[in-house]
Amino acid sequence: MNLFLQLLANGIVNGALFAVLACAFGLVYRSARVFHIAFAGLFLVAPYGSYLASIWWGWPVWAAIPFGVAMGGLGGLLAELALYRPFVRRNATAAAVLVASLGAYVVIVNLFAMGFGNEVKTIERGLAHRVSFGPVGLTTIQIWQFVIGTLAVAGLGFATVKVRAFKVIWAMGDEPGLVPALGLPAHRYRMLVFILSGLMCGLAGCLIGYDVGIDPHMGMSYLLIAAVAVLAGGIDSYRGWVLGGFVLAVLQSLTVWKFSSKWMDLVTFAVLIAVLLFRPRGMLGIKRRSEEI
Amino acid sequence: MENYLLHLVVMIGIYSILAYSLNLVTGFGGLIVFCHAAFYGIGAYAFTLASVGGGRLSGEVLMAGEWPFLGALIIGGGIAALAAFFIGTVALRFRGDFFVFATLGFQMILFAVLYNWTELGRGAFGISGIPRPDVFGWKVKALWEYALLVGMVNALVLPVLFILYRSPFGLSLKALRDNERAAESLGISASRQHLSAFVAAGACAGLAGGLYASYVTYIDPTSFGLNESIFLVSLLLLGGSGNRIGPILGAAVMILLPEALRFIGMPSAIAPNMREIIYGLTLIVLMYARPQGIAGSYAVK
Repeated sequence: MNLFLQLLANGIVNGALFAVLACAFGLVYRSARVFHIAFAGLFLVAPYGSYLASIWWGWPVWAAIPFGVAMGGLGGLLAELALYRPFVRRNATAAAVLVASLGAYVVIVNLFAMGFGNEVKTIERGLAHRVSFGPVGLTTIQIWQFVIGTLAVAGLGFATVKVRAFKVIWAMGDEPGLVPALGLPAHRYRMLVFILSGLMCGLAGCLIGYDVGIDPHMGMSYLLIAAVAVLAGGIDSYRGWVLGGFVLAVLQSLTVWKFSSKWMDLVTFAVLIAVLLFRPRGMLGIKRRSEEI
Repeated sequence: MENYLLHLVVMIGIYSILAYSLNLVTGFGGLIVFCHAAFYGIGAYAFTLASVGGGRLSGEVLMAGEWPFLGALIIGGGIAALAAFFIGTVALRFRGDFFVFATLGFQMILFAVLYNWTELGRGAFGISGIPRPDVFGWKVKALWEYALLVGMVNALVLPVLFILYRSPFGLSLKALRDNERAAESLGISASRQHLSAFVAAGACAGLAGGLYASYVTYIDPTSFGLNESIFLVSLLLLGGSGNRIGPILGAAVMILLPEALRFIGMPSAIAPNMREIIYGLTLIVLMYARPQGIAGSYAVK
């Protein structure tokens, strides 16, 4: 039973991270309608940025992480400006954008592998302290992950309700042509989406990097987790993305408890296919009339 | 040098089967598939388990038959076709992004099974000692013999695929690709045609897997992961899909390009990364300037 509680706690901590990742992917996927595979490469920008700052330049943690996250936002912006905008200007098909994004992913990953090497780099060298809450013990890094992750998700959630720009961003996902027709700068809103996504993704990347280290090929599995969380939770609902992230993380923990950690991927993708089959619009999906789809 | 060129010929031969079979689904059916490497892997594993028996094996696997080469190859193709049938039944209920996600999910699931079900195929350790082909007494050992064998399998499989491309079946796939609703209103069943194409492609990929396994005589699951699927999709889209020139062009370019880069004298430490970067940039530029690929007649939607 103690093991179960411990794994559940680990699952909830991971859930906060997955929720941040899901928001980062969902923002782009829902509003810019881009299957953002380059996300798996951009995921690396922030942790390598803070690695650079903290190990090479000797910055303290509280400066290195914000630096990394800012780099992540910049990376997102660059991806939009250099990669996606030319395709939007050309009215390229979704599949062409997908394949180009795939190409960008390959380029980014190999640039990082060339700059930093293929091996796992650790940013934090000291051993993490362990804090016990009754039967459950969490490391200090895990507590930071949970607190920062939850705050980020809650902050963005609050913003989606209160800030008008998010209404436009949401509407852009439904009807991309409508935004310029209303006299709103569609390209700027897209830039905002990519910056926000880059920041969220960078935050998750730093928090994960400080815990388990970074290597150039880790991004893909987190991209897949984010995508599954968004689809499983419900593409059309911000709460769905967050729920999807938490459900996925807890399910992975339960897999570890019941079977073994090696079946985690299998459970993740079985969830994806089950949700697609039985609730195609996700757990919190809104039923739409057939004309709307 | 000679052996090196022959090795490249064999690899292009194996990948041409994969590319032409994927072309049936992607170029004619209009569906981007991210689980082709899974069928390739299933074929390779089925072939291996069917032919590796008889004391050649070190370690336990679930079953080890002692079939001759051709029998095992057909088993490989058959099992892969069966897998394609089941996966296709589920995945083909979706279109667009959801279809891509579903095939991606199956790719990850099948990889996890091959990697973690250690009783089936020894998981990450892989299976070594796969026997060299023996076709009716012709023991294929030398590289040139192998190139000949791969060429013969190509000569058997590709015409079948070419006939499929031109047949009413291929034309109905094209009609579905261009306008699914209109094609269905003419009495073409989308689910049946797409599923048939999927199964045919899976069977060919399985054959290619068997050839690959007997060529390298050692397989492990990492050769059949998501990266391989991504490689196959980019190979096809780079060469171009929807006709008979694109796939072989894509296979030749993607296999020869890294080798060509080897000769322009890049420092060996960064050579593999530079190769990948060039291939990524090529994809981006191509999708921007020529979305139908170098020689393709269909641009994916």
